[in-house]
Amino acid sequence: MSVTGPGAHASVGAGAVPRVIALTALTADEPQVLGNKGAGIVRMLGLGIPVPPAFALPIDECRRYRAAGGELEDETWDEVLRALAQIEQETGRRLGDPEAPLLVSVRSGAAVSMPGMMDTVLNLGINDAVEAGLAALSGDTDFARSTHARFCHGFGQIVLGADVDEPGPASTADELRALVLEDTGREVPTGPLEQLRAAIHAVFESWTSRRAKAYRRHWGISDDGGTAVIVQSMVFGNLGGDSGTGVYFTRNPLSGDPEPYGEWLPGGQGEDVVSGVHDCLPLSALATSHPDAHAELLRLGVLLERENGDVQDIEYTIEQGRLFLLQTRSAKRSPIAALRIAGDLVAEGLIDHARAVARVDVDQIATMLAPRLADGAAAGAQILAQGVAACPGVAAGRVVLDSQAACDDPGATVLVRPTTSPEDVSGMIAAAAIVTHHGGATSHAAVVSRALGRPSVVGIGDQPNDAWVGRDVTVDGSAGTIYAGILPTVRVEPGEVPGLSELLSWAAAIAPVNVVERAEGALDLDGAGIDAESASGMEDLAAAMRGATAVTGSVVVTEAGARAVIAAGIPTVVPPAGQREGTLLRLAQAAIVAAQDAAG
Amino acid sequence: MSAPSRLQALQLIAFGRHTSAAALAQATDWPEAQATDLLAELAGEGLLDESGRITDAGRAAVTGLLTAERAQTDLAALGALYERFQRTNDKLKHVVTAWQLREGEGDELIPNDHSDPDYDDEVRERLARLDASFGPVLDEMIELVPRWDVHRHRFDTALAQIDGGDDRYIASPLLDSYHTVWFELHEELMQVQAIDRLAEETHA
Repeated sequence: MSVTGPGAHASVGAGAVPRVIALTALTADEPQVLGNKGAGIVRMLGLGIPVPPAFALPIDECRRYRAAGGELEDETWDEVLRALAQIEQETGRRLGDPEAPLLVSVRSGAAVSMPGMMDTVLNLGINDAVEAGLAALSGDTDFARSTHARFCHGFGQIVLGADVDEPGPASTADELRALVLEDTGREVPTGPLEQLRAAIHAVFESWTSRRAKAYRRHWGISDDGGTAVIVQSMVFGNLGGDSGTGVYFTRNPLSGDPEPYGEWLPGGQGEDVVSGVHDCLPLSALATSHPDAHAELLRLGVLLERENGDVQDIEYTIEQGRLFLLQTRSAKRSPIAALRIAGDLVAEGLIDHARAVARVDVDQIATMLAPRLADGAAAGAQILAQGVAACPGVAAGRVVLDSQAACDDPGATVLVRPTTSPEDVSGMIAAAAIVTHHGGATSHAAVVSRALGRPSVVGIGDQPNDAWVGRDVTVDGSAGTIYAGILPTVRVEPGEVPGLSELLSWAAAIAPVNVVERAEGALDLDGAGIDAESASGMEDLAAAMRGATAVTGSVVVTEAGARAVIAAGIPTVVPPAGQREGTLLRLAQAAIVAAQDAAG
Repeated sequence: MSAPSRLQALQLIAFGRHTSAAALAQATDWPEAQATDLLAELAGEGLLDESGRITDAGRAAVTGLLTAERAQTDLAALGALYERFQRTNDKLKHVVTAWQLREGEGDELIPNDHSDPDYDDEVRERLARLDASFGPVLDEMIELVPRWDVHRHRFDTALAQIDGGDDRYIASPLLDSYHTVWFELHEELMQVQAIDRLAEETHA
């Protein structure tokens, strides 16, 4: 398909890439030319999804910009103006025209997504005159003022590198301009074209930011490439009647029910829905007021769900009767919904068992199944200390006061320290729970215990604990309490969680490993003292497992450990106590990854 | 990268994870052959045991090397940088905590189940911004204590791993995560200045 840009352009296939490319359903979907975001817009257009009009400066322009010593060539700028004129014609609005203002967003997009690239600048094209125009058109001076203030903040932060606080509801553009000037010594430009040109420069400059360079160096990516620039018109749900905005989930993200779910805010603009300032109507209200747009939205949701194989979270806006999809992505969801949806998508044939298993978050499942104190267990128990709850969960063990003692008896001790230092990490890994005398919820001990999933209580104060040594205690990291003795705990059984048993049965079928309660002569990998995550961890594990027919140890529940077990072809694994489900899912996920790697 | 430093190697080994030449070379960007030679040398002097862990003699050597280094370091300049570090330290702790915990219903903090990509992106972005603003401070620290250029490499590596999609490099204590490197640099800053961690945390 040849690329049609504003004015006459040679097709990409013919060699010369145009300096600016209008994005249409007919544009070639080539990430190496348009960048991933540009190609994404073209793909959406190809599916018949209405997205706001846009054009791209292709990746080649980034090279040309560098070759010119960090300057946009006049010919390129002329093409930008021509492409802009085409959008103005299509939307009936003009950049900088207070009577019918066009605002645009500018974003970066490399062929593969890369950090350090410039974030999106929104609402470009606004200044005092346009703010007044927007206020008149929307009948909403607050909206116009905050749009202008947010533009100044975003432009200052993203293009000029300012570090200023988010504008509040009453902030004005003048205030933000002053803050940005104070912080950077540079002015936010008021000329719409000047804003556009500076934003395009900033996108190209971001290719050589320190972070982007460090990333490419680490991953062995060439510095020769570049990023495309996407300029897209913004749409408004509050300019004129028959307009509004909302969010639509293709399934209920709380329960997982396969029903459309979402909100509709007549006369609202993007931020209004997210900010929760206004009371939104349920999506069904859209069906009543705009039945055609509602039906179209649902049809597109089903299309996108099939295309992407997952529940979609779609932002939409209706501008004077015309529906636009602004963003679509996989929806965030509750753990319960995640299981329900995985099962339903398999039943509907959208995804296979492997994809359903690969997608679950093992930590999320483990948290659902984590033990907690049995009802009434704490009543009458002696409380030894109370501190800050730092990592939820309950664990019991014998008190030790130094890391070496914890390492000597993995999983059986509660490590109690004044504070923790880097040298204590090995002990924290080995301990069942962690307690410190000093420090708060953001202290090192708290951060490390959460990263390890070890129940912990920090900041119990300066009380003597010599008498505790060798005693059994129970640490409730959810309540911040340390009890004398070992208290009974309960856990949720997998059968009580809808959809989990089925998922586990798929995992069992996928993992080429038997996960059993006990196995004669199982090799305990924890005893080998190997750090699976270290540079040589996989090799060390493989060497340790050589000749073994069954293995066990806490390492098998880690991603790296599960990968090593699969790679070594070990037929039997004994999971650590209480972690059968997590082990099974990890092993199945490792097998899926291994199969994908083998397939290239 | 500067030449391998005996003190830096012993410090990284004492902190617990870089006991093999491969791991040490990867963390520091030292050539692996040089890391191998250095570990053999340290083991030969009895500073490391047969499994590569630091011995009591090794810890004593660290104390001696630190004392010698302290005598040659502009401690006033380092103290000023440490104050800047501490300001960023509070931010770092909040960013890492935000990665692990978020506000649930009410003000209660609940574990971040990472089901909200926008929230997670924002936290990653806060970490990247923190790294960008801390960069010049670290550069000045490296001018005072050149062996700390390994931390520059380790921070860059952690960030590149996070940027590559491996979020374990935010806070995992099992890896050279951003938090691990930060915490070890903090320990090193206190050691060079002979500040006691317990006194500092109790005071704080």
